[in-house]
Amino acid sequence: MNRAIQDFFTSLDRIWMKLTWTYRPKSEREAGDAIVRNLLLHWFPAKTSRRSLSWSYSFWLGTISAALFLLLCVTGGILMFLYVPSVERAYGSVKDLEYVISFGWFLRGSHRMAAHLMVAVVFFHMVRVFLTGAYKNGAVPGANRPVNWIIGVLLLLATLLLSFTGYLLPWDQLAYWAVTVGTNIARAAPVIGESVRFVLLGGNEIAQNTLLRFYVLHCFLLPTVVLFLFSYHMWRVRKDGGLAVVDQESFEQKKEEIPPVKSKTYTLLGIAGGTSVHVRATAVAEDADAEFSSPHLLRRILVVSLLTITVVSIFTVLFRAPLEAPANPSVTPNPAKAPWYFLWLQELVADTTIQIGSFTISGSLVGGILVPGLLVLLLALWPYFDRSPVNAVGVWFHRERRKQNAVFIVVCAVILLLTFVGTYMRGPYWNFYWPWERWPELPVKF
Amino acid sequence: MAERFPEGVTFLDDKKLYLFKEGKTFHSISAVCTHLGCTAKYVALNRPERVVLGGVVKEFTYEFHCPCHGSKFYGDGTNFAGPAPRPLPWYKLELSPDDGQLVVNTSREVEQNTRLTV
Repeated sequence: MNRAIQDFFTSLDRIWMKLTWTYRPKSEREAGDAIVRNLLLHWFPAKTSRRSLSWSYSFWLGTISAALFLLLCVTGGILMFLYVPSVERAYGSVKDLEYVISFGWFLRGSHRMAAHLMVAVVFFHMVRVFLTGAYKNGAVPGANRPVNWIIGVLLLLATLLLSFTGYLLPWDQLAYWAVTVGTNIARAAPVIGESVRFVLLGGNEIAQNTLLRFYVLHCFLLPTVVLFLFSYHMWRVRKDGGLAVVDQESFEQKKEEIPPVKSKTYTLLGIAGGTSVHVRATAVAEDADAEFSSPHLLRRILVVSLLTITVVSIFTVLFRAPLEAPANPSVTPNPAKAPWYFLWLQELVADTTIQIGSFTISGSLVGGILVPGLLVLLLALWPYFDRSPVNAVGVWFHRERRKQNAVFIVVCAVILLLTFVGTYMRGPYWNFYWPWERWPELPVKF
Repeated sequence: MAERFPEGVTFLDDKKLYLFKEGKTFHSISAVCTHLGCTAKYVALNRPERVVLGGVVKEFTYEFHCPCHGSKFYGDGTNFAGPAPRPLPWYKLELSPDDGQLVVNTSREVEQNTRLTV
């Protein structure tokens, strides 16, 4: 009897331990394994080189993007309790957020501000990686940085799609006409255009189905895609030997002819039997130029995240989120402008209708699909065209990469210029006005 | 009823088209820009303009301008500036045989200058 009670309590204790996961590793090896098996801890090496911790090499733009994404998930999750994805009630629920719910304006405003900043920061992260040649493979065997660059391009596209699907949700004039223009650009695609538009709209007209589709895309599908791509992106950084700047250290050490570091071998978590993954925590001798990731790396990540949240909060208070008139399917606002990050595309579709004899190719195909499509394709595949020597990896403006850096900067500058023109130099009927010119007062008949 | 429309132009907002009445004749032009589907606005001109279109001199007192990407159309729907690749279509107008109401068939485009006289 006594024994039975004892057994009962032992098993209760076991269940309690399983539920609360009070982890007590029995050996160093077990503790190490636990870190290797943990996805979150797997992202970071035990030690991080001082150079990759530097503020001025990476500007921590990737970390800021991740912090913004986290902030967007948190604020977005709360917004989902308050927003109603119905054509009749969407606008009203956003208006309630703005004027009725306590700090609703701050919640919506910080979600919007974080989204704007994320587009900008992800873009600059890409610029940084390009200009430092950080998509090139360096000293680590088995590195595949070009693939991680492609993942990064996909993440940039996902960020833009998240922004697009997000600003449709208030169902105001901006939203309605953005859907109209956006889905008509999709329609301009040859052969599949009509069906793509039908799938996006959930019919032939913009209606309840459309809103629900964009809602699910925005709140579930796209964030899931970003989460998976982001996890892989981080894991890949680790597999490729850390930030590209670390490879420079390794080149310098090779010159000093220090024998190569013995790599550690872990089994692939029992997934792929027989095969093992070589994890080289760093490509360099560990103790010379490295610090323990905990606390040095973690502390910096925390500082960057807190600074990000601070900046978002300040901007949210300074720039209140706009809400246009409710969606009116018959009247387009004049001018009807997309958010700033799409204005270069709006400028492109407005300028690229080509006339060859009596044959016309609409700007919606040229500027809406062909030009951006080609740009993205070229961008994604660029690492495979880059023939610069291996020592150009992880260096800002390396001399061997001068030409391609110049071309890249020019393309970025043109995009930024078109964005500027679209933002400040286009008035009613998309007419050109200088930024200091006043737009004319137009009579409104219809 | 056809005669209940005012003289000149009327914007039918649920159909997104402009209906013109000149005495006893009617015609209708789509307001949906042929570029990316925004609603082109009716813009009255300060002074009438004369344009040669297809060898014929035409006079217009209004144009259609699109707010989204700056496409411009003459009074008969012909595109002349901006990215629009095609003219604004004209729609078939009929009188309902049952009660004489004016019917616009937005699924049937007609040649420019096709007018209905009642």
